[in-house]
Amino acid sequence: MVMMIRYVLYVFKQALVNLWRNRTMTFASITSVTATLLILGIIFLLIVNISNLGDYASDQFDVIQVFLKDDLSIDEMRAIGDKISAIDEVSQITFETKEQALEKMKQEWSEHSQVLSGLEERNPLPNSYIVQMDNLVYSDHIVRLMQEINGIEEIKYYRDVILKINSITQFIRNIGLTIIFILLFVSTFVISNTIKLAVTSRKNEIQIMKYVGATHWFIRWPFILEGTLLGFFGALFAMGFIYIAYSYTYDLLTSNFYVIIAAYIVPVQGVMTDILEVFLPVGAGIGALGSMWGVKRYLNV
Amino acid sequence: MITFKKVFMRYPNGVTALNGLDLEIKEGEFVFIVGPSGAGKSTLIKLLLKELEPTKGRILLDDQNITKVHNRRVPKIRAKTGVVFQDFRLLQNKTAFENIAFALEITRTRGKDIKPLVTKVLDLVGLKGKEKSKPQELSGGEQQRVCIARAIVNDPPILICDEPTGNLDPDTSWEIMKLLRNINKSGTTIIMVTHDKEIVNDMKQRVIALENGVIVRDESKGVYGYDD
Repeated sequence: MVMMIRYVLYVFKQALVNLWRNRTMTFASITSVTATLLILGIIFLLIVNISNLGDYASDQFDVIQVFLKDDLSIDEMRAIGDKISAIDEVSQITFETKEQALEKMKQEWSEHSQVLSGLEERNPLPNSYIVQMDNLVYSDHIVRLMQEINGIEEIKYYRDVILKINSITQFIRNIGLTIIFILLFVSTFVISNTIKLAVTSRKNEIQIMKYVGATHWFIRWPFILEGTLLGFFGALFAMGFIYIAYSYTYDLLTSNFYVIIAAYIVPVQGVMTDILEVFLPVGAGIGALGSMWGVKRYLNV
Repeated sequence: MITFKKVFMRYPNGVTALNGLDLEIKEGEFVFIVGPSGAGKSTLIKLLLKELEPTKGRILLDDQNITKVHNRRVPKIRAKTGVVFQDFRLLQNKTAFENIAFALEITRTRGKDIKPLVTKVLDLVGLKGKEKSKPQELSGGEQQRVCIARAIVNDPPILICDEPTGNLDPDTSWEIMKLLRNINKSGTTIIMVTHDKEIVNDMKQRVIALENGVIVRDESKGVYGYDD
């Protein structure tokens, strides 16, 4: 047990001494990992936000909105509702009065809703039915049937928009993941090269260790820890930068007129927890992987 | 203790370094390996240190075949041999004491045992009082003593010396040889590769001459036998 602790201390000391002795390369590797994870983080945030936007859009728009003419009586409106419900593929319809529509809009605009005040007197928004369907693919068919109903001012549906958003989201996600994988590989490679340098700079020492009978893993561990630390610190710095940059951007967007955009942005806290959970293990992981690779290739024990 | 049985060593570039070498060295012997450059002396040492695998043949160390052993068992085999180099190979940023202690630390000797062991071995090689000196503050002979101390501190049964006097003047060489002789007398088998005619002729020990990868001469109280 005492031996174990002594060895762990030895490994840490060796790794830190090495990092310090080759500090130019240490700096270069950490910077490289930081840069990689920074780009990874930006892509990650982009993906998260675009997915969020995509989900939001799907939620918002996977319904058909049927705006009614302004001069209809309640009975007429009810009759229209019945006709819509009678269509097979319609799963549910909700009636929304013009007052409700205005209220909903105010909520979405939140603190800027004063722009809308005064509209209660002469509400320009129409009464409407919100039609939900069993499946998005029926929308064309349902719309065609509804067009034959009298008393409808306009039918709005967003099938194409949703499909487009989904395909764009998917596309960006795929490209992002590809870039992330390439970057992870590059980082691993950079770390393995740093380890190569560390091995070369200690060639004498390693040879002596071999001759006096040190076990392979005894020689390897300090290098593996060294790489793991490089990855870990790189991840830590990258996280710091992302936190600062994202908070700044988020604050900028939410405190200004762009509030409408801000509503679609994932808040800082939630994202940072995700990033924390992903970055540190990923950073340390590529560090460990890179150094094992380097040790295997360049440390001939 | 050491047996080579029909050992062939052919390097990837086609050079044949050992050509069916047969050799037996008994426990406690002092053996000189001599021969011209390229005769296979270094290859023989590298095979003993498990730096190389022979192309063919078997090498036994204490009746254990050390060819084709798993990587994991190599350190165990290396622990049986100490090595002394012509160029000392000391760690320049460590003191004499630390250089020797290093060999104990990496074989996981208990912390409180290190100091007495290092002190004892420093005393043995005649470096009492030089514990705190760094290699560049020591003479060539003293550096070689540190190297020898490091090689024997783990008490290996075999000591391999690759031209240990190659970088030293004749007087210092003799001091080193006396030290090696004493180590040998205490029971350690010594295999020494050398080009030093006077030393071989005066020591009157077993001499094995290698040429083109085979033994051309093996005499129990031999001489160097070459002109240079």
